[in-house]
Amino acid sequence: MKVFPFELTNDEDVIIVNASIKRKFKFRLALDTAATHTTIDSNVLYFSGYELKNTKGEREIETSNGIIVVETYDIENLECLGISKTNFEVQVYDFLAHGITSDYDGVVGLNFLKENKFCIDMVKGEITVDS
Amino acid sequence: MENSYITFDELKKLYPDEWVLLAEPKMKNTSVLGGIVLYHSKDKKEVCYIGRDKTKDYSTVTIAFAGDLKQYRKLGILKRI
Repeated sequence: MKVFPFELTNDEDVIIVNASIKRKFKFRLALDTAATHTTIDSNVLYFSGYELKNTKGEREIETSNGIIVVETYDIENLECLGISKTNFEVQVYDFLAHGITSDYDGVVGLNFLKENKFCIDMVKGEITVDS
Repeated sequence: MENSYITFDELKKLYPDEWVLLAEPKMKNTSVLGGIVLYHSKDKKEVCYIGRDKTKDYSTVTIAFAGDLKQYRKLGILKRI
């Protein structure tokens, strides 16, 4: 079992976890158990060596701000919370172009976590993952 | 740009409120403690697009904000339609 601490310093904070593409490009994702799919900022995807023209297609997503269109890509290797996925499909959205400037670069959703048992302990401020 | 390790506190003084591309970053949990500065800009998109070509000689890289970023908006992606 692996343990990943997190810190919520105020009511505006979300749970941030580390992630990496190809074990080289390190970034931060918000853990979102209300998200069906993992979504990454397109700028970070480009930075990680992917060409944005190589999308698999578009999907419509229902968000709290309305419906948005994202593109999908297969990521060669995505790691997060000690879980490693190869050829993993992610949704990609241009956060910056849509005015989203956060200190995280997307959300890790249920499709990434569905094969693992995990527990979010809000009291201890830690996530345990049976991987 | 000189390739030497810089702590995060130094980054905040050198490049206040800028996005900084760091090679071989040292991390504590999800916080960046420091790294080798490869590029910096007020514009995160510029760091992603120009910075990409500066990373080939390094095993790990990350982009950090050298300041305190207020969360103006929450992203709540719910489900595919």
